Amino acid sequence: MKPQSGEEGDLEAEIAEILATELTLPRLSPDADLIGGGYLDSLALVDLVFHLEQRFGFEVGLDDLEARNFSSINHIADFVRKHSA
Amino acid sequence: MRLLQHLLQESAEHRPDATAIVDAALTISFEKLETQTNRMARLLRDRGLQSLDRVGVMAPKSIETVAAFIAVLKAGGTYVPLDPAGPAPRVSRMIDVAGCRLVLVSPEAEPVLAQSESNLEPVVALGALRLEDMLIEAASFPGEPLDVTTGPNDPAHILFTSGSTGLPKGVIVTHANVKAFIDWANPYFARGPKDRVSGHSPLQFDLSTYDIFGSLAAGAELHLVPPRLNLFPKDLPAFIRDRRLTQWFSAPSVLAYMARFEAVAQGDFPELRELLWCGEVFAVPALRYWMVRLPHVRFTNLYGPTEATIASTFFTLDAVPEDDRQTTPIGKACVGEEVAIVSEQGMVAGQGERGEICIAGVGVTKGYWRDDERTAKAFPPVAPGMRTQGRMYRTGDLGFVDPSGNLRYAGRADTQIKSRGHRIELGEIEVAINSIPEVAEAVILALPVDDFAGTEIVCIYSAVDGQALNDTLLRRELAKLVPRYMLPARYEQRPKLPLNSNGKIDRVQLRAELQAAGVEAR
Repeated sequence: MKPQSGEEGDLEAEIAEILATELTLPRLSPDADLIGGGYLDSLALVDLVFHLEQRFGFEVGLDDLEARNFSSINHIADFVRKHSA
Repeated sequence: MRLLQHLLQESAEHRPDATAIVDAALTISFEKLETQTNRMARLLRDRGLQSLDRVGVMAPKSIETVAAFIAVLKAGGTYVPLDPAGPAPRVSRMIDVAGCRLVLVSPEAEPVLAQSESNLEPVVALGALRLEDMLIEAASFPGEPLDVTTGPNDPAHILFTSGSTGLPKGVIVTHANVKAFIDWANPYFARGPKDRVSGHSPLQFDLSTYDIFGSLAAGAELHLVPPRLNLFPKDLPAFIRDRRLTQWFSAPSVLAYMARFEAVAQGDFPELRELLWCGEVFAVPALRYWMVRLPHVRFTNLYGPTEATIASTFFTLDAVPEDDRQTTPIGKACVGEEVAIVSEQGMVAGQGERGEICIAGVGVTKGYWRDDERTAKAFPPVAPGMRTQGRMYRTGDLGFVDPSGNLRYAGRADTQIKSRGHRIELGEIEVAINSIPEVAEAVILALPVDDFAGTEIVCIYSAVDGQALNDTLLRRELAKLVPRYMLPARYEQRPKLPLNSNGKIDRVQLRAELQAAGVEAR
């Protein structure tokens, strides 16, 4: 699946869906702080990386695993756009 | 014999200006820590704290939190470390079970304490004291050491572990218990004044007591590792490099996490000498990853539950394991401990024979706080054939002695599991989940996964008729009752759970179904 097609916001919605269904997190707003809010721990992060890699077909490397890429749904969406463009 | 606080006092006399502890914000010397904790202890006495009173300390990992522990000991009390992240009902039960008369609290933890409905010991409840106010108030007290009446066999701290009935158990650890471990470990790891050692374990867990008191005794620098560094795999290696650590001690799950994302370079951490882990099995592929990259480091596996203080056996690897399926022995007893395999008949088992791992000697604690029944059950007299006198601790772990004379771990006899270094009774999660009104039935299963976490916790449940319940709602409710590390990673709702011929929920069938569905192979 290619995320760049479709309207702005579709990708954010898709990531929100992964967080809610695969990681069983509550429904969060796109700019909610996933790290400060305590929603992401290392187990959840591994899960999330697995689902992003499966869904969007790119590999997440050590240098990608940083707060700026994972601190909110918006940031994750930006990160996915950058890698799968 | 000396008390734990005297380990600091001696280092402060020998090397007053050397750095004792470094946290994310500050550095403190041995002399400053010594006088600061004396002042804080005098304030506690002035407030009415008496010998053997329990004091909860609910604050994030920092110099002032460690200072609060030491101050409680210096005032003759027993400290009870509490998770500042809660959840409030669990912390509240711990305050009640331990009978704390006073809780020292940081601003971050104040909302959690406010939510908890605990009753501080009614005799003369000292209430809550803000750690930051305490530091200011303490400044007006003299910095000289105090005389206390506590002795080496009095409790130093009470540490809570997960309990199968849903109620956490408070293990009473004495000054002598901890001191005995340090007397073996510091010479073995050659921990001395030139060392910079990690403080990785959360302060509620007993590995942290070796971090703290082992480094104070050695005159070494203790570098408290901020918990937020556990999230991204690059951050811990960067910390080890920046702080030029010489000794690292943690649960193996964080080490496996770094290995999974290949965060360690060949020849990384040139000043690191000793790497030790405890708390669960370190999977061989990840262990080999580390050993191949760090040929200059000595790798030691430690084993032992909180009830027998920090660790009771050790095994230092002399070569990189060749085979992924090979397991690492838990090794031989530390000095002063006796570790025996006891058969179902209650006798010391022969070589190679499987049985329960039982521990006697200097590490065996007093048992569970105000719970004589469970203490008597878990700490019976030593089995016939053991050379130590007195009581032993029945770990509930299975093991055997291999042909080389090393102990090997062979799983659990019950439903206790280890996940990311945390000891979890599945029963505690089940009790919590079944207390949620919308849940009709629920079981918690632990499945092995080929992952750094080792074990995945899965919840299968059904909802009360007419109740709107889903995985997300359930997780949110459960998160109010148990700590985050106990939350199941996966949820599965069913209309009804299968029963076995005894009319109980059929765990065997559910487990088989999950494994067939490939949850394990994910």
